[in-house]
Formats: sequence, structure tokens, C-alpha cells
Amino acid sequence: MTRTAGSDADFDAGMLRLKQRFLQHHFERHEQLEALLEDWRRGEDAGSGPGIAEAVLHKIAGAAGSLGLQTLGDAAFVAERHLRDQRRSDRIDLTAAANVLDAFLEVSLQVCRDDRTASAYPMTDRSVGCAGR
Amino acid sequence: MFILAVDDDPFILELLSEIIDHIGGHTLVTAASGSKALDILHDDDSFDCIMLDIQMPDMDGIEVCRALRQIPGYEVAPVLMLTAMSEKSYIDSAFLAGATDYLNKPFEITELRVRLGVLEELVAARTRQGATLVATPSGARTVTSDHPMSIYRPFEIHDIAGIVDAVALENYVAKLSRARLFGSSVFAVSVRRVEQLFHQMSPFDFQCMIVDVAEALADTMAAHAFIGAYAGNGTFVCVVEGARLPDFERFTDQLNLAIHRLEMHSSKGARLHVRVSTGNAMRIMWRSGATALDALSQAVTAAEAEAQRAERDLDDFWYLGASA
Repeated sequence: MTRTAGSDADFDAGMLRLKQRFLQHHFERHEQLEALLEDWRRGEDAGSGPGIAEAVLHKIAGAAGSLGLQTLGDAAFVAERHLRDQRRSDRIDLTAAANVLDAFLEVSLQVCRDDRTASAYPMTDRSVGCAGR
Repeated sequence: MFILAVDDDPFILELLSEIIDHIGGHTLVTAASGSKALDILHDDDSFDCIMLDIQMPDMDGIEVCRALRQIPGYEVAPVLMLTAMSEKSYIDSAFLAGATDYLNKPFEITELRVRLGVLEELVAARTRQGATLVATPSGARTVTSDHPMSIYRPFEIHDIAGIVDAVALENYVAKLSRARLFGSSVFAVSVRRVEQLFHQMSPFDFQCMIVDVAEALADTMAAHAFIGAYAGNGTFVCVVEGARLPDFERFTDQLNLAIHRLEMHSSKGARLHVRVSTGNAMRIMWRSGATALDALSQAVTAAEAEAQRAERDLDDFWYLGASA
């Protein structure tokens, strides 16, 4: 059955709910990227790390902007493109990759701190994720 | 519309559900992978529109688009690519695989609503016109209609490399312009004395002739990265990669030779003498989405004027010869 248009209030509530869920999930993604950054800083073999980071950043870049988190989305887009270009050239410069990822995580951290909406919700892992740096 | 959205990110699928729900008038079904989407489309031929992510594990959205075009019932269904991939290579590949439109993530809700509205109108127009995909003698397929044929109306041509439908080409040029990807140029090729040809044969013969010209065009352009579409009135519009354009005089000669070699005939056995002219090319510069399309219409006008000039010169030649 074709749906009729929902009310603005329902839509706003739905989008807010999605934004909160996105941020909850984002804390886990942030932590995952922090762990990769630490590996790269220690000079450990990159392995599949750049590919994983690129995939995580790709998902953040794709959704964040539609939820009003443009700064986060733009930063993810820049980092994703850097990693993709590196992978295409078959030469991973871990120092450069780490610097780019670090720049993204700074933005991410700021978004996590700033988001009052997210802080109004109980998130058990939040302190581990974004406040862990 | 009955829409299938395909994305490996469950969050995006939820976001789309929320937005489509808010827009209203549509029903959304979601699939988390390309292979699941193809299974759904094989089992159900009633979807009006498909939205595809590109970057997905196992099977990317461009492969899915190419594959779904082979499923009966989905040869012409609108496909909207909804992706974070913004490089030109992805845009080119998507349209060449059969995409109708291309929208980057993150997307504005208003923009998605507008794009869906355009695609809905496209679906409705096809239904109103009783559009049917039929094979031509060359093996390529074209869309015929219940309605009387107008010489000016573009029709879709399928199964020829580089040739897409006119709506997709307009969306492609608008996308390049919006994304400020200015490495391409646009030119058009026009069949000379097209009105005479149109009136001397059946509508289906005319379509078959245009399909043959499309094949000759694709063969002649094989060495270049190009996307072209039939724009109606015997004219094709082509977008070519790069600032360095082909030598148009030589290109036109090669194209006319390729057309000549096809030895075109009407269904009644009459030999068709088809020749084309090529108009000036112009670079796709910075323009707003709407005025980017002006480049297409300028290219069409230039090619049609050149076709008329060539015929006039030919008439003058014979007239002067007769007077001498």
C-alpha cells in the first residue's frame, strides 16, 4: 500500500531518533578508528587497516550530512578520499594516513562533545568512545 | 511509486524509509546487498524505481545496475544512484551501466523529493504512451509507443555501447556541471534531410534507421570515452571526455563511411541514403544545473544548422552544375 505523507512533527521526531542512533553508533566507530590510529602510530603493519578505516569513514561521510552533522561528514569525506587515493596507488604512507585520520578524529571528538542531543541519552559506551583520547 | 532501495548500510536504509515515509506517495522495500536486490527483482517485476548505493561489498551498485537491466521488466525502469562516490569515473560508469540519475550522499531531503518526482513523471509518461521495448533487425532494442510518432520526440535505444536515453544524458550533464567536473565537451550529430526520410518510411523503419546510425556512431566513437543519446529530429548529442576534441571533419567522414557500409534499407527493400553532419563542440563550463542543459540544446542547434547548410550547399552545387 502506498503511504501518504507523514506529518512534520512525526518526521522531525523520526529524524531526531535516527540522529541519536547514528551518534550512538558513531562512538563505536570513533573508537575503532582510534585503535587503528594507535596501530599506525606504533608503525605496525597496516594490513587491512586502511581498507577498514576507509569503509568506516565512507559510511560516516554518507549519512552524517543528511542528519545535520555536515562538519563530521565533510571531515570523513576528506579522510576517506585520502585513504582511497593511497590504496589505489598501492603505496600506503602510514604516517600521512595517520595524520589524516588524526585530523578526522579531532573533528569527531568535537562533534561528540558538542552534541547535546546525544548526551541526553543513556549511552554506556560513550565515555569509552569519544572521551577516550 | 513502488521503490527498491539497495544499500549495505542499514542506517541509510532506515534514513531512506523515514524520508520516503515523510514525502508520501511511495512504498519502499529495502535490500542490504546487490545479490539480494537482484533476487527480489527476479521474483517481482512490479517495482517502478530502484535506488542503488555504489560502494557495497561483493557486488557494487554499478554491477547491480548492469545486471538488473537484463531482468525482464527492468530494462527501462528508472535507476537512481544514491552514493557518496563523487569521482567522475563512478558517474560515467553508472550512466553507462544504465543509471537514470545520480545523487550524492549526503543528500538534501528536498533534493531527493524533487528527483523522485521527476522519475515518477517519467514512469507515468511511459505508461501513458504505452511504451514497449522491441528488437530492431540489427539486434539492438528501441522503445516504441502506442501514440503517433513525432519526428521531434526522442526515443530510447538500448544495447549499444555508450548510448543512453535522453533523460539520462540530461541528468549526466547536469551532474557533471553541479559537481564542477569540467573536463568534457558536448557536440551533436544530425541526420541530413531527416524530414524527408521520416515521411518516406514507416515510424518503425525510421526508428530502425536511427538505431543503425546509433550503431555507426558508437563504432566510430569507440576509441573515445563518450556518452550519447538520441535527442529527436534525427539528432544525437554526445558528451566526450577531455578538452582535446576529435577532428570533426575526419570524424564526420568516418561516421558517414560507417553508415554507408551498413547498407541501410527500409522494410520494403528501398535503399536508404543516409548522411550526417556534425556541429561545433563546446566545453561543459560552470553553469547552474538548468543552464548546463543549454549546452546540449546549443549543440543540437549547431548540428542541425550544419546539416541544413550541407544540404543547401549540395543543392547549390547541382543547381550551378545544371546552369553551366
